Amino acid sequence: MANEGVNKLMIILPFLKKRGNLTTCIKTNIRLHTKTTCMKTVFLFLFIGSAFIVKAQDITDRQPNQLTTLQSEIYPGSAMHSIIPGFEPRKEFSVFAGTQGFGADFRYGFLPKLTARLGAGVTPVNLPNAFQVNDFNSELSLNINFTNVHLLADFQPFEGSGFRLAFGAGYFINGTTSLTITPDNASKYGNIVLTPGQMGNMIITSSWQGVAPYLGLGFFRTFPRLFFNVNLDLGTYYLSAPTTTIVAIGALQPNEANNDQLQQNISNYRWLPVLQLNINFKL
Amino acid sequence: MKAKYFLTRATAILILITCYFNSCKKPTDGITWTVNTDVYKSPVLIRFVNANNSSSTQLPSSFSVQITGQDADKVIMGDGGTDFKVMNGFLPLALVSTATPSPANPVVFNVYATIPGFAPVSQTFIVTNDTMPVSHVLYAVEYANPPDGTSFKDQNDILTNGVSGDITITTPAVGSMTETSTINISGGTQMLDASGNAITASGLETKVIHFGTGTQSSVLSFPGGFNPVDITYNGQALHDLTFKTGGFLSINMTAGSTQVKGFSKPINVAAELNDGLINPLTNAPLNVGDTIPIWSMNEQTGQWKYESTATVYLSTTSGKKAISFQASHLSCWNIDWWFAACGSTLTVKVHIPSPAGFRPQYEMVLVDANGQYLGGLYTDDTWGTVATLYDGLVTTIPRVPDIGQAKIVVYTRRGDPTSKIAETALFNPCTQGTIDITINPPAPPQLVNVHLNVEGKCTNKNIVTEVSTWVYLYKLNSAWWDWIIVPVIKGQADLQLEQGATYFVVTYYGGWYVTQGVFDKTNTNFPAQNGLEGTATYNATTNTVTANLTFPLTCQ
Repeated sequence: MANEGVNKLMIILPFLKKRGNLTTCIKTNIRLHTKTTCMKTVFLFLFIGSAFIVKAQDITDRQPNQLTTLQSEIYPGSAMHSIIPGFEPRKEFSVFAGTQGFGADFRYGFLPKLTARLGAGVTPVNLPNAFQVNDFNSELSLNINFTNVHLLADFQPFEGSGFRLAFGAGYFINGTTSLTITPDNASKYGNIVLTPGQMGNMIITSSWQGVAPYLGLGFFRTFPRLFFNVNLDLGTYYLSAPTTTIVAIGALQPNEANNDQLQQNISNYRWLPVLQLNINFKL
Repeated sequence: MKAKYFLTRATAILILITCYFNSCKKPTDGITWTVNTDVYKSPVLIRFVNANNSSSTQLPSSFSVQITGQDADKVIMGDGGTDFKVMNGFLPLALVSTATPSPANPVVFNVYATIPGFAPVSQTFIVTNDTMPVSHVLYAVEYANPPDGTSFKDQNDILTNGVSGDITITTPAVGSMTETSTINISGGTQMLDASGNAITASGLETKVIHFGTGTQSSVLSFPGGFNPVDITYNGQALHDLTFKTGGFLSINMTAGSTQVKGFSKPINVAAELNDGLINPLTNAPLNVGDTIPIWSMNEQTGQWKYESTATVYLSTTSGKKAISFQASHLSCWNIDWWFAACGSTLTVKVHIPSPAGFRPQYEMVLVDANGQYLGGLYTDDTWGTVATLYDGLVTTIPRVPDIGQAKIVVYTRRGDPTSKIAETALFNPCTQGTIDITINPPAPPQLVNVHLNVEGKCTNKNIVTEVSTWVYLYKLNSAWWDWIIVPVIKGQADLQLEQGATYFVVTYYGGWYVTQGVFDKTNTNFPAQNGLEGTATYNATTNTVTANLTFPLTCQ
């Protein structure tokens, strides 16, 4: 057990290290024109993290057949719902946190290799003064507000491996990011000095709503052997085409005319990457 | 088995990454942020020109002016600066954002300029509208080449410790200026400075310009104009008068290097009057015994003061009618009847039957029965000098002089009496209410509509600014009065230009920016000649050339 604990720690450490880079990236480097660079960091983070997960899984998950035995011992009544002789459906309640926010799932394994999960997630992120745009002497506030309900299926192609293919769809009741640019110092254009009050402010909003297909991978055991376990999802939603609005007042008001170009520029911003840690409780 | 797992997962991850980055386009691609810097009010463009159109002497390319008067603190340069400097004859001004000019509470300021080789220029401006752009022309009188209808005398005399002997200075009769004026300084007169202190100099230089009433070029050059705002009359403050002039004297004396502003005893000034002068009080030719008020003007502040009333007499030397008065201080001296505003408004309706859509920039003025200038009309509430006229234009002048008889006259060129193109019959401006004037302009050249987008482009940021400024357009070798001047509001202006003609396009916004291009029925470039550059596209449906022009701007 001690070795298993050390192994799990080895899994987490690279994440912690990379998370530092990611945090730095978010706080210091998310200028609009360096988004690509930042996303490269995010994906590097995901890729390296997933490699460690695969390694950890190999170490910690060598006896898959013990699951059924343990399950039967702890929940002998669960066998009554089996639709395949010898197979007993499994249920669990999960809470998760990740790039799509946090939420909860109910997971039902009705076939040995196929599991359904129904849940909801929210992403209430508010990052005041998170970064700066060099073009303005301003404070920028980023607000991300995503709310979805989803119905996904997890297919386990290799029995006992803990590796899953996940697919399904989510319905994004709300999918909004808004960036508020508020000048906080006087700006000088030629000889004209504009106070922050004269400059006004600008709110750039992007909205994704509606049905979004999901495709992804899952790592680690779906159902816990005992009371709970932890597993991971890596995938992406394909969101509806976004709509954008720019609302500006004061001297920034003319930028509302930039909305068409902005809408065009982000029309293909439809992939919502999901890296999600699930904590599952057996029911 | 492990290899199979790894390949499966790695492939999936790569697919996701590829999908993501294929979809990526920077949100800001093609976007330039825009800042509206149109925070000031009432753009006022003042153009300084040599009053003598025939003179080849150019005004200095740059000179400073003083902004004085009761609301001087509300005036700034159009680009936001406070260094009031005329560049190539143009002085774009504006009011600070907190100013709230209205007909009831106008913003009043005075522009005063001393230009080497020219008589001091002074003009009071009245702003009653917080949005309407107004352009004015100020005529600077060159000592060496005064305009037709004026005469100039430069004389040097000896002083003893600032005390004069008997001095007589007489302006000559020159060309169409047939009237002379004479200044007599009696012996023993001590020269005084602006503080009333004696000047102990050994030399006196006197420069006198006598402005006659016989030519438009002279009348337009009168310092201060004919619509004074603040007047002191026997200790009382009067406002919004209209002058009907009998002549004007600009007298400047320098003792040593000190400006003479006063005398220990009054000097005597005599001025002959134009033979054709009409007494507006009788609407009859001027007669001996008629009286004319004498006014002085502080050129630096634009403040007028009633000094005395002169009686017309017959000059024993020339046989011409003349007046004389005593002056204890030096300033501009005006020989004017005056009229208070009658409280009525005058609405002017412009008709230009053809060509359709023609929008010429003509001078439209109110003159008296004798054709003498009383004021120019503009589309805001002030007296201006030039207007863009078009069929259907209706403009209302809120204050008109109680002069009995007047008429509206339209000239195609400022300052050129031969360019009269339309006039109304005589009417009483106080009772007329509305006056129609029909203009039948000569067939213009083939025109193209022009829409200008003018922006300041930050050199160090991805920002353009919507500016409010002026654009001046002129064809190569054209005279100053042929320049087309258009206000640019929030970066946009509309006008008409001759199709296929090459124009210089100029704007002054903290710097002097120039480009040149052809306004034709094709797309074209406007390469930077001095910072201003851009492109133009032609829309055949609307017969409109849209030119997008930018100039560099330092932003912080």
